Amino acid sequence: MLLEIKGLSKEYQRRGKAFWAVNSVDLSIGQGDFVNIIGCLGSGKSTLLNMAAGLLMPTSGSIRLNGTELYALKDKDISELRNTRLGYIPQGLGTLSTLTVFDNVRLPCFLSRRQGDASGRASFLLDEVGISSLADMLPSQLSGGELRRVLIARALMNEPDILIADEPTSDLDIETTREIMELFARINQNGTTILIVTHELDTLEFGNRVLTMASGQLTEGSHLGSL
Amino acid sequence: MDNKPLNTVNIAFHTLKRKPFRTTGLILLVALFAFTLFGGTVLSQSMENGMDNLSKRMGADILAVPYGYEADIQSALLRGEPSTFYFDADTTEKVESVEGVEAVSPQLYIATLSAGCCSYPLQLIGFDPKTDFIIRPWMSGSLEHSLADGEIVIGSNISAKVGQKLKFFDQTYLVAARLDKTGMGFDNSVFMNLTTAKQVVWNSERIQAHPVAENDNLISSVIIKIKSGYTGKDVANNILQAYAKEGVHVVVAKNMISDISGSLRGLTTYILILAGVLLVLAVGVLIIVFSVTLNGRKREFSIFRVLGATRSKLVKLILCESCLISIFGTAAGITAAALVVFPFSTYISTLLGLPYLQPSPGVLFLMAALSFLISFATGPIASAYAAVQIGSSEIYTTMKEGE
Repeated sequence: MLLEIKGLSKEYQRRGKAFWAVNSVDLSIGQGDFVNIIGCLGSGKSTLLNMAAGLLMPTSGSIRLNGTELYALKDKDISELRNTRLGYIPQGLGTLSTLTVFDNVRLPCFLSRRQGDASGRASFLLDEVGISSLADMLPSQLSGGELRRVLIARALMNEPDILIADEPTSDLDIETTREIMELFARINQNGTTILIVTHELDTLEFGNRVLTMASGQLTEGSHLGSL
Repeated sequence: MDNKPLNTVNIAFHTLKRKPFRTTGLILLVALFAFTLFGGTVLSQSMENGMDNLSKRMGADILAVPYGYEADIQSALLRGEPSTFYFDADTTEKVESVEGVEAVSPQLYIATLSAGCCSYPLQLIGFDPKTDFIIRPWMSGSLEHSLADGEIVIGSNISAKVGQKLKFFDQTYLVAARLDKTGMGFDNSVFMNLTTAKQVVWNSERIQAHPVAENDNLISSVIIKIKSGYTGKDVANNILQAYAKEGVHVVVAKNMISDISGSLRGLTTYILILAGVLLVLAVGVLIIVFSVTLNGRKREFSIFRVLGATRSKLVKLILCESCLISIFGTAAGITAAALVVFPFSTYISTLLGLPYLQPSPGVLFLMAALSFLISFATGPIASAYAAVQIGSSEIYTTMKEGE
């Protein structure tokens, strides 16, 4: 298994009372999977995703990426793992406003001090996601769909094992949503594993597996009725 | 497309360049701090130097002046303010005969309204080169001959060179020597022998009446050196007992210096307290501003962490930005202070009304270097706490807080 999650829980305190955002979740994702996790707002899907991406310490449970226990790693090692083996696309705005599109895409390479042609790879990825003509622009000059393509290109910069996206189409129109999901499908066909959380039912056709998150618990399949 | 490799410095530089309002504000804040630090230090050090110099090289122990003009002689000596007061020239012989007096030399003070060299009124001082013991020690370079008629010696702030000629009341006079920087009124005065001084007075008669033109036998003050074994106070009392009725009064140099020293101490203490309060305030404001600015950029920093920046890498990025701000701010502040303090030193010394002597270039360089180091350190120190705090926060939480 590429990603293996067992008994994963996250507890928050709300007005002095325990609140389980994620409660004893088990999940296994294999190489080449395209997994959609669907759920209502506040169901705990983003919390689960961010724990899986190494960005939020779980209260209990285990997350293994290619056999490596994520939260047993020191900051330096988990940072390196995020940089080289995980491609993360955050919800909403995720670009650095003071860097050009080209530099935003190249940034992960600088952070890993990876050898190789970073500029060449960034140009290739911008071409792949269809925005090579926007390379010198600043994020503030781009539309929502174009920004999302920048984030996808950046997430792919260091050739990660898995691409994790938090609500990647939540603020896009129907046509742009479709274009972005088709882009994810193409990336997946090239062999990259994809894990997406969403609350949009229209996007589910692009994955090969759907899970439903409700009240912090994850179940296999799309339980459309319960949503 | 800019293919230059990304590194910490050029990422920080891009961030500063593309947020000009925020960057300029922070640079100005650091500049204000550097300006206060360097300007304040030079100012207080110059006043201390002026005081030291005055007490070391004053030369005279007592000054005899006409009754009622004690304050005027101080203004003339300290600030070079043109003053005119006179008594009979035979006061010199009378004072010389008083017990405890070793040497005496007369001086004649003439005020000009304008001169070719200067944009302000000048004090012209006639002295007797044969008996003088206070002007000669300040002369830079050697004046081979005794000061001849028509020749003048200029204070260090007078803009003329040795060999040039200066015009007073339509007559030209040859600059024969220049005085070292004294930090006193001498810097703004012009010296000549008594014959030349009287010549100047006669020429001035065409413009305005002058008592010396009507009575050739007048002088303004007598500088007095006392014999060893006597105190200034004793000899001053002797002079007063003998000649106070004739309108002769005395100023004891030591008393004058200790009076100035007292007011200088008060002023420097005031400046130091003010500078201290300003520095503490500036550091406090810098810490708050850096902290607020950095906390407003939480989402931006969490993106670096998402992409794989370690905590230390993030702290380095933040510190690099604040170092750049500090460098530009410090350089601007010190340059601005130098542009105010150095060209306007004469004006500042006049404004302060106290002896003012700038430190040597070497000391000034050291002061600038030290001010640079202290001011430069404020930016990184002010941002270090916020940087460490942001670096050690949970990434997802920081990202949500920054939304």
